[in-house]
Amino acid sequence: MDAPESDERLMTRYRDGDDSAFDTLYERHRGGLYRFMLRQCGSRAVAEELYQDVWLSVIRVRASYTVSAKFTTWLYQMARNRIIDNHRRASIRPVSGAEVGSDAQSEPSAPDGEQPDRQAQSAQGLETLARLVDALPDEQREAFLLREEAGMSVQEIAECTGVNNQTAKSRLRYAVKKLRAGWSEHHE
Amino acid sequence: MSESGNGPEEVELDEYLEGDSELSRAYRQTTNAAPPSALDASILAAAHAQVPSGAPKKSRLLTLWEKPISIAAVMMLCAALVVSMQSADEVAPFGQPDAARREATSPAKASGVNAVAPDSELADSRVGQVSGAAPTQTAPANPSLSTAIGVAQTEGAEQQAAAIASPPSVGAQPDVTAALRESMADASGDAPAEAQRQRSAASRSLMTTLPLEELLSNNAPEPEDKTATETDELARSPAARADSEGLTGMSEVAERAPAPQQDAATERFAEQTGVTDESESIDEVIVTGTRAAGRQQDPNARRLANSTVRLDRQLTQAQFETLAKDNPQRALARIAALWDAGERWAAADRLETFRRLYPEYSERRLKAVLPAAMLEEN
Repeated sequence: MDAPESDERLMTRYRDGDDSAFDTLYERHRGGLYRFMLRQCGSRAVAEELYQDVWLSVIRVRASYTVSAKFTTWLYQMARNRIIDNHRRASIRPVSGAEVGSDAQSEPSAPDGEQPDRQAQSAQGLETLARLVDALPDEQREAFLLREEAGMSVQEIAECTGVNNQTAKSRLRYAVKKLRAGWSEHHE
Repeated sequence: MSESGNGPEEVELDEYLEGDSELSRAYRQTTNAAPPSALDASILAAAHAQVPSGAPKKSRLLTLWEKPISIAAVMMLCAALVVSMQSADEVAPFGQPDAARREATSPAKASGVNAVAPDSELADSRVGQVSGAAPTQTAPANPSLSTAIGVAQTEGAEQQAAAIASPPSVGAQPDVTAALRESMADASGDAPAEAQRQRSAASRSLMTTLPLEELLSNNAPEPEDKTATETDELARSPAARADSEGLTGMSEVAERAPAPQQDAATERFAEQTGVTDESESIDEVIVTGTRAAGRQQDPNARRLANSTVRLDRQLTQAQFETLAKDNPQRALARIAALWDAGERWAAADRLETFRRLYPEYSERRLKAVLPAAMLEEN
């Protein structure tokens, strides 16, 4: 089985005129980027606006694209910059867990075999986790989301956020510690 | 903000970074949010619009070199066009006989010869050519031949040979001889360059108009126009008039015709080639001149000899027989020229033809013209 084509290769193909490569690239990153922006922005409308703006920027600069960094790092760096700009313009409260969780509520229901009380407990736990993520400090939440949504390593998080590796690792460590602690309290 | 970890936290982080931790699985279950399909469609449409469908997918290398290559191609095309135009300018006189005729006609007008009718422009150009180049000489009865011979000396060997090979019309021999002398003298550098150039143009015009067969025949075109005929009549030399009075034969004409005016070029020619006014015929001039070219290193005389021989090689058997029947002396002269040029097989073949045509021709008379070595071998 052939290994999937890298993001950088797909973007190069799109730069050279192969628009089908963009379809693959977009399909790969649409969900993660959207959720990252949704968690980092104050509202769904703003997130969607910024999300569209990021992708349009990718399309605009395709002709001058050169492989100087990992595509994911480049993509999320653009997204992060837009979020920062948006926060500077208006102090917007990050989107609540309930707003983000609306999609989770629309997911297919659990198998019929599961007990109703267990389903409710699970849903409540996920909602709690979502709230814990929202409650994280911005830098720690950002590091955690980059890890979860973009699959970045500590070094890539450091590159994307413009900090050194130790700082990125420390942010991620604190985020994981707080989330585990809060989730354990909920289960207990 | 001071962020530092301890031992258990590091272990906890390492477990998380290994992937598929309980925390990660739980987070992925919290939300499955995705962008609206409308948003997806608008972004994909924008991406596809950026790359028009059906457009050739160019490589980056081609994109980078596209403009320089285009500029270089245009420059090369321009250069090729300029070169071809220059070449066309150089070749134009050969491809435009009218221009050459005009060029050749102008000295005739300048020399006072009567203007001729347009339809006899070619014949007039021949008259004017001789008049302009050597005003003191007699105008030939068949001016085209003398002009052609005179020009051929300085032009292509084929043209020259064609002119020399053509049997002249009756009575034209003295003029041909004079033209030959003049042309060889001119080629030595005594004639004005302008006259040479004009003769060259006239020769090109003549050669493009008259094929070899026509020159070989005795039916050289005469001007039909009355004005041209009168001009010829006025310009005819005593020798030519004698021809018109019925005197035939080169030797007789040569004896009766007044000697052409001697000038320095003629004297030099006589010194170089051994051809003098006392020479009996054009054949004698050719043979003597050809042999002189072999003896001396005169490039012009050698060129004349080579071109004559080259034409001889081109003559068919029938053409040579025609030539021999018309003028035995000329035929023998050509045979001698062939032999002297080293074309011994061709010369022997022609001699055999000559002997078949003239079985009564004595060996003594042959020895007078042909090399002794040739007669010994044949």
